[in-house]
Amino acid sequence: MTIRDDDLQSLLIAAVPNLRAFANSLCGDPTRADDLVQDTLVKAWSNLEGFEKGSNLKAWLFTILRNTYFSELRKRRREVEDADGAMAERMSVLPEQQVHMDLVDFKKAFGCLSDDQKEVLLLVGAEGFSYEEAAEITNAAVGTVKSRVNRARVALNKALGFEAGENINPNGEFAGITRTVSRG
Amino acid sequence: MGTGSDPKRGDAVITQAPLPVELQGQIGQRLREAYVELINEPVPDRFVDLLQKLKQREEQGQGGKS
Repeated sequence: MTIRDDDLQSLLIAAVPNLRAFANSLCGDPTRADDLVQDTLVKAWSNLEGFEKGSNLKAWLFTILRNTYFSELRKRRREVEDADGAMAERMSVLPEQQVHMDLVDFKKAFGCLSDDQKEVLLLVGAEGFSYEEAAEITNAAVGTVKSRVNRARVALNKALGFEAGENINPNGEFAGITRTVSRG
Repeated sequence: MGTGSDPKRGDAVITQAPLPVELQGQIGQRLREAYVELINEPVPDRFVDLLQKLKQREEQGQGGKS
């Protein structure tokens, strides 16, 4: 109740571009992404008591958004068998006009990641949250987040065919990424 | 299908050697490019309207009937 004022209204508005970018990247559907953002704002507004003053408002909003997304997804999965594949497809056919070819390739590859990998890569790599913050947002262990981020990077790297002067996996340990890559 | 989408699943162990820093950089750069593109999209009016409405509703609720 104490921070519910004009300030908060503008703080929430200021977060909308990031929330939309995150939602869009996660679900690959602009219309659904905006619905997710709307739900997030309504929930945030009516649950302000759940927000600890002084903590990270953006992290809190991202938490609400991803929880909303995943609970919706669970519902949808019961209805639509191959939701994953359909989403990856949608991500890859998003209307893009004047972007570089490599960015199109990137988006396509990104769309093929699992949701778990997408969200942590977005949080850490695009939004700049720390591993610890990302762990809190996704309700996962820090080690899990690190592992997911790394696997997402490895999968993208493989899909995009980037090369460096060394073997990606010199120890010959189990990589466990073929599933993710071959799905697209 | 074993897609590993359950956040509670035990995939906390890092079984994958980290990607070379150089490649991490290339991926990070493209990720941010794609993301910034999305962030720079204009915000639809519906969000400004929505917050305005939420605020008004609350003010009415607090002040009682005027």
